[in-house]
Amino acid sequence: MSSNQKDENETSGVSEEKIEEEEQVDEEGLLINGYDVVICGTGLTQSILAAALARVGKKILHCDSNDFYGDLDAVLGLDSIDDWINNVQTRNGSTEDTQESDCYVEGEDLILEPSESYSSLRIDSVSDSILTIELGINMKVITTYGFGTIVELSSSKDIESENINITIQLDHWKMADGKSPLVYFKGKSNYESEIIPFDKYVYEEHVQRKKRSFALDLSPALLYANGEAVDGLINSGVSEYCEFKSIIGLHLFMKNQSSKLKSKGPSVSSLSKVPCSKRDVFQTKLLSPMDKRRLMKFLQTASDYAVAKSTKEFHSVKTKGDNKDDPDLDNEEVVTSLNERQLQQGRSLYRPQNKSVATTDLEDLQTCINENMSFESYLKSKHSLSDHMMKIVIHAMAMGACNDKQSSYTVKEGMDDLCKHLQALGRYGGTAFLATLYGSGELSQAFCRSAAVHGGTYLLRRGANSIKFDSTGNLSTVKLSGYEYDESFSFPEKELKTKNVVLPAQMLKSKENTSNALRLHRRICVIRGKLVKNESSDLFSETEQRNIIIVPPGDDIIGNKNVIHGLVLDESMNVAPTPFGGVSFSILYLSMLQEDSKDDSGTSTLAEASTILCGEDCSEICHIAFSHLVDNAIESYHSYPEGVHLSISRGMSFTVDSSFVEARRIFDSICPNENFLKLSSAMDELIKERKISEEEDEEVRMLKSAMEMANI
Amino acid sequence: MHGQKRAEYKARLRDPVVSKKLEQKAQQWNTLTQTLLQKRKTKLEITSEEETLPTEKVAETLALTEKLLTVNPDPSYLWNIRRELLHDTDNQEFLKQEQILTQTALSNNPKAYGAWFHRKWCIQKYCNDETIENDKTIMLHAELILCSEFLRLDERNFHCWNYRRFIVGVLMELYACKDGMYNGEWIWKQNADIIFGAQMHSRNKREASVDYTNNVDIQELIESEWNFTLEKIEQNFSNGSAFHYRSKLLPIMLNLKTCDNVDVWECKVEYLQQELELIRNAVFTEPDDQTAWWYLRFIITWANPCNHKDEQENKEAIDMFHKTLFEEWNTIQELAESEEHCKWALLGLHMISSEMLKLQDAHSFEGDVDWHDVSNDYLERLKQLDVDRLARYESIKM
Repeated sequence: MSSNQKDENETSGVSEEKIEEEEQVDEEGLLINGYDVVICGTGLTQSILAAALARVGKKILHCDSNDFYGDLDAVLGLDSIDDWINNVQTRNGSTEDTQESDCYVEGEDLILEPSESYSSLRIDSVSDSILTIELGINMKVITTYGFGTIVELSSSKDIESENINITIQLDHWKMADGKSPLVYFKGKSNYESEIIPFDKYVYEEHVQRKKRSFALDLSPALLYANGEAVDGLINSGVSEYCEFKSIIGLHLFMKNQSSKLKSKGPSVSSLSKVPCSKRDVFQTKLLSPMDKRRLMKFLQTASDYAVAKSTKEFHSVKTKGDNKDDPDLDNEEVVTSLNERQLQQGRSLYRPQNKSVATTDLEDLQTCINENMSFESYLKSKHSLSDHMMKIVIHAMAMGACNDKQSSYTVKEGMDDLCKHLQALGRYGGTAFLATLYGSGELSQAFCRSAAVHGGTYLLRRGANSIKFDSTGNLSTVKLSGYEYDESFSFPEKELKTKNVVLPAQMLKSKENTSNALRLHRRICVIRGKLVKNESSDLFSETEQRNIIIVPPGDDIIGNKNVIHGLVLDESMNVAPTPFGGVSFSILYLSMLQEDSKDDSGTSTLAEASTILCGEDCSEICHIAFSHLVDNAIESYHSYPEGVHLSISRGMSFTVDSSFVEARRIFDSICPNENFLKLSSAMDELIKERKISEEEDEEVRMLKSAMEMANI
Repeated sequence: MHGQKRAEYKARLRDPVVSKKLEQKAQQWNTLTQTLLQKRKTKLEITSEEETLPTEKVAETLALTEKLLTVNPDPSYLWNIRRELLHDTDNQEFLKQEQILTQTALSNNPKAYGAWFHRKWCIQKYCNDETIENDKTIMLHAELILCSEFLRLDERNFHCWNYRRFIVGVLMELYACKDGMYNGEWIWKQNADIIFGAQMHSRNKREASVDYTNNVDIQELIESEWNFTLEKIEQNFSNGSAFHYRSKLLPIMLNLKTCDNVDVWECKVEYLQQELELIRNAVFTEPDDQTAWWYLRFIITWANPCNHKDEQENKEAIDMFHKTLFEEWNTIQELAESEEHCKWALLGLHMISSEMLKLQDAHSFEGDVDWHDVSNDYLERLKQLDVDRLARYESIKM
């Protein structure tokens, strides 16, 4: 690293001609003398890193073997999803007989998986089942007489042919007695031409025709309204490239356990709002009064912990920053941000003025953290939360413990995850989450654009094949794959000099060591209808779909061993076509972790979840299910030669904040003394100007005109 | 402002550029107000000799006060000058102009007493004017929408809650008159008073009660107001104004519900239980927030048959109330046990036991607790917990 810095200092001192001389390019426009960093894969983490590095003047080359940006974070139209599926399936077929071991052996070249994060990707199921759908009771159909519902269906098989009797209630007609008329289809007549299942009609007439109006995220993600991601976006000015809306509701799919409803027969799971703030706890029907008291007490402890933690963090930032910036400024920042945090919580959790912080609770918590207690037993023993409430806290509030090793989820992890959530409450909208318009894949594109604006070089359709080291074992070159555009125009493989290379951990994954690996299952469903009925009608229209659904482990009907994260979006996020002819859509994303195995229980669990969540009013029109391995952080930090940096994927995490943390980690190891994602000076000036012009004083204008009027 | 250190703010004032600007502002303000007062003096002199002031002079003064009030909506003498000029005007369009001005003023300072009062005055003047034939209820409903917007921005602005109650009071008056026209008299002052209190002076204090329970418009209005308070409380239950308004609406709601020979007591207990659940949710969520506890005090006093002459002998009602309150007592005890340091839970228990004591004094219940001792016991514990109010607890001992 020290040699790198020395180079940097030298180049900043030399004259312009010398730089021009240095920056000789080959026939493709690539630097002959090499790059500071070659980044492989345009996933979100790598894109953020690219933008951060380009901003501090590093020469970067960012390549991706795909012909689109985003790697596994990409957003694709329904039309390009087909190409994507074909592509993955052909790749999977061809890569089966590659070399067994990709593990690094000193002195040898490092052979890479050719397709960034795709190495373990598996397409589990793709639907066109809607086309072969069979008629059934209660099915909505379109007949020659209009829209209707099948109320009776009977079939009897003769020796030669099949007789079918169908009774359909025409829902859009009303007779004098208020009932809808019935029509009967009898005999073996060719009913297919007269009765079309409504969903088949929707698929053919709406989905197929508007394929490009759908924007589907391969790995949908949200942002905490206050956290690494939002800070990074604002500080860097990249937020200007994207638009955001707040998530309307955070819902839990589980049985209602409130004391009142217990007696009323067998309870079925249903959606209910997760009580995150004082207001939610007050309103929720999930909890009995005494449970409310316990939960509120715990949440207040958590918010005290968050404040105490941020004070400590700010304190350490201050001492660290003393040597580079004006210390007074830093101090000021500590005060205002702390103050702001408390103000935000004022509406959600902060205590009334007459109540003091319960320090004993905080001390208790600290002891439990030191003892490395599990989050579960902390909640049970120190806050006497019931199993039901524990599920709410762990899965829907801390959003943690996604794998089945719940007991290894510690108090520290749990409280830190919870704090991230609580601190983001009340900044924008009713929940702690923001979603990106046109899909979260827009984020990686925005950061790539920002990197390009600051001088980064981009190459699509060209992935890295291998890494070479020189005789002393130092990183020397990266070999890029060739690409044939057409017969007359193609590029051969090429080796490029570089000082650093950044790889997704999946590119190096050894195939043998996957015994207890975790597989992340995802299902993207196009749903007819609006999945979630929003409770509040004051600010948003009731039907807008920007909702999170958490299905805690062990749901009776779905039978999931691990927590399922669901995200529902619709045309209010510009990811689905606008409703037309009474047909509207929701996009439902489901994800779940499961131990890697050859069986497809994960796929079928998510299929079941989709059916259950749709209920009677909605139905799944088509879907894609796929899965891939998640990186094991400890395994991946295995030492590689200097200059080779592995980036760990976000995995199941609902929010992109961890991508920013990961990008910052790699950034700090490449250039330890630079500011991560700092605002460019040009943008800084622009904002200053804007602030000055806003200071135009309305009162001065008013008084002046009054003086004129009074002839003074 | 929030999040800004006072020293920082002060330091900015010491900046010579800023302070010079402020000084100039102050000087201009002084000159302008002096001019205005001078004008008013001359006006008084003129009107004592001649009949009226020329209209263009009036318009000019109005425009000047308008500009000054936009800068600072607080001084009431400026609003007074305005009212003086408007008082004799027969210009029916004055309302719109005043509404715009007060709205601007209130956007600058949503808690300016003068501006809220002026708006009320204008609405009253407009509604009292029999020569205006427009449907005044439309304008009043627009006022309610504006109130909702203000309360969306700050749900605890009591000025706005007061104003809202005033508007609802006027609306009720207008609806109560058959032709939808207000005839300048408070027909059933008693009931309107329940809504807006002593905010407006009535010209004719005629005590006559009109049966408004069959008035669909009033029913709808009161019900939507009742739901509105609930909506606001659900957003943030630390809202004394909303609970207070609810306590004012509750008796009217009961009247509306019981017009068709429904048993009053059944209905009253239903409301009692519904409101107790609301209170329970609030106090278990945050026992140290006093708002809901004060509402508890209102609810149980209101529902206690012993506090109403005509219900004192209703045995069924008394039993029902006793049973409900006893259950509530048990629930709050649970809360007090888990929150040892919370004085409000003890105060709540004391509120309940004093109402129970009233029941006990008038009737006997089998196996009842000795409420006299119980309530005194709570006061003893409060004396230890809340030393600052020792004398008060001593004084309310029975």
